[in-house]
Amino acid sequence: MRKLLPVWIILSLVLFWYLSIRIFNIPRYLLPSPSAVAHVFITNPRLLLESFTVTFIEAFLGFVIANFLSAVIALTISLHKGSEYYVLPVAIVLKTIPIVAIAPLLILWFGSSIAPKVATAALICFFPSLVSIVSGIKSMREDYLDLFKIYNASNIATVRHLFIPYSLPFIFSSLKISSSLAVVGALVGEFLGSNMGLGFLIITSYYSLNTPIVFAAVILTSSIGLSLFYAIHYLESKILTWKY
Amino acid sequence: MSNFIEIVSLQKSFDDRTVLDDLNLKIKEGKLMSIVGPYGSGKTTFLKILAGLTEGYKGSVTIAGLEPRKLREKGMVGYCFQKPNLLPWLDVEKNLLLPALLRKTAPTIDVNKLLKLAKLTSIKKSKINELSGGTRQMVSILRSLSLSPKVLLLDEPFSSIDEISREKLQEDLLAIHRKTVKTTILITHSISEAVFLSDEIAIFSQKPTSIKKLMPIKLDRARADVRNTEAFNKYVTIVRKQLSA
Repeated sequence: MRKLLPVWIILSLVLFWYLSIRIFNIPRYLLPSPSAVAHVFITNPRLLLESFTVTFIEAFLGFVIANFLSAVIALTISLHKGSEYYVLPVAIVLKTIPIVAIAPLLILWFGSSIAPKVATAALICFFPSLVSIVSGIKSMREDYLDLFKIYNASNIATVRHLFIPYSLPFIFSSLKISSSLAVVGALVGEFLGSNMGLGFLIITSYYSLNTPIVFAAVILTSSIGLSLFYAIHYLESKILTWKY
Repeated sequence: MSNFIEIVSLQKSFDDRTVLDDLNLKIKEGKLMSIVGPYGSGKTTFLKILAGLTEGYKGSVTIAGLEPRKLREKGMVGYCFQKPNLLPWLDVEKNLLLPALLRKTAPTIDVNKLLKLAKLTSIKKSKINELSGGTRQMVSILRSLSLSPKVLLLDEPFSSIDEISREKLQEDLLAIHRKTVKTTILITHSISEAVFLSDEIAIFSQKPTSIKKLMPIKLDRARADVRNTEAFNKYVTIVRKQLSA
């Protein structure tokens, strides 16, 4: 029963949505009914699937690139403590540039392919991932390091047998945080210059006041973030068996 | 019997703060020595110097004729930390094999034999999270023995363990020491633990620390109830007096 609670909440919200339209007579271009949105899914499956696939690929690639770089940089910082003072300021500068300000430049540089959207997705994920993994590694217990020193472990062995497994919980939590951010990054890229993807679909449908399609695209957008989040959660439970 | 550990005029400072000053100590091979002293008297620093983890000291420290760092590099030091620091992502067996893995050598004691020392063979494949604090600490001690070190250094291994489990672990440690006959240095805040386990107790002074008193302990440890004997209580009283003086 407890597991079904989220389903009941969603169904109640849909019912509330439906009744609000009926009672207050809200026009379709402002708030389409649940059935109108469902109708979009039935009549335009191909359009929605193509747009979903494009945005998913952009978000996923940006997410993977950002987290891979964050993990590598964080592990490098952990081994060469001085490098933190050079790397983090650069990361902070990147973070302070608003993504909407840099996205047009990325489009100018990389054209209208998926590359600039992947880049915006990666940029938006990079800093939170880096900070999360670095602060995780910095919380490393001193006695673990002493233990490895006692046994004269090489740098490679220390990274492999200590830093990587120790960082995994922090990497997974950064993956969870950035899973939704990557979708935002991909959408921002699509809003500013694209001819495909859910962001493009939302913008073009909004201009033509085709609100049911906007709603369908929004639902699909959130489903990307959700599916990434739960895929990461599943992987975490399989890999970090010692935590579960 | 020759001196296995020789410490002559050891001095260690951090910035302008002298922690250890003119510390002299000799320990015979195969003996178990406890170090007791006030909080912050540099006991852990002392142990880390012996382990080759802390350097930059003055004076001379030799263990089996070698400098601590050399001894550590040769994998001849076993160290058990204050908190059990088993790696939670490895099971008990893999934790015990970790020193051999890091040193790229085969373990000199097999895991089953090692676990048998503390009657823990049943937990070989257990996850670390499934173990009690006492068992984790005992596994940590066993891990420090896995490469058959020349010297075993124990930094308050039972400090966070309840009284009943602690007595059991002390008995297990004593049994392990009898079987392995490793030269062992134990840091403890428990006077009764020091008296129960040691061949000799070194009482540290306040900072800057030197040896206040060395006290050989001559107890019949074959007796299970040695803790209730008059001789035991006498030793406890003497050490307590020395510490509070």
